[in-house]
Amino acid sequence: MKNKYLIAGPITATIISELMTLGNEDPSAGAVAVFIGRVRDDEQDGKRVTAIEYSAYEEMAVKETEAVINTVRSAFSDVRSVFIVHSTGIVKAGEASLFIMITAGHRDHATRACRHTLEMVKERLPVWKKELF
Amino acid sequence: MVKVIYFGAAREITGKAEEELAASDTERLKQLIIVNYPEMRSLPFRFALNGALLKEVATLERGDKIAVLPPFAGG
Repeated sequence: MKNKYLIAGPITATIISELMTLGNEDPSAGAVAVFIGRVRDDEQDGKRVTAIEYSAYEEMAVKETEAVINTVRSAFSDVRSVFIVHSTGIVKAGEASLFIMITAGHRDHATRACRHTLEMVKERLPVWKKELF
Repeated sequence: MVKVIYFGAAREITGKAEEELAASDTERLKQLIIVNYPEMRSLPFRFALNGALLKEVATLERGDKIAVLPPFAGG
């Protein structure tokens, strides 16, 4: 990993498994909500997207991710942990480029906080993409 | 001089990852960037000063690091 929040290349099943294991550390968290964003093979101007190349302003992305985590933890009192990982570099269609996991005592805060985190990530993370065909 | 760092489509339009420019505030810097790279006029962008997103015009000091941020597109 380049840092805790940005990873070079796709977020593989192995990495997802490792992240989910980290989320298991608190036995009082009865609910785990996960969002995985994948690269879509959209068609643009008659051409099929085969991959996306992500770039990020890393210094700012780290600060913003930590701000998002703090905001979510403040807004949802039942949340125990927040994990956010985004890819940089090339991610092929069908591969994962965003992983969000919330652990909470109960399902309501876990699922709502997950959705809220996703929207904030889309709005605040200084990440850009370039479609490759 | 301030260090200007380009990201996303701004990097493609300018053909540069970074450069040094002379500007006393972000409004003047924006004008300068558009003059230097006319295609930047059609790209909406914001600035981050030393890693923090700016919401209004800011004065620039020598050695500042200012990032040109097109609309974010993560996820």
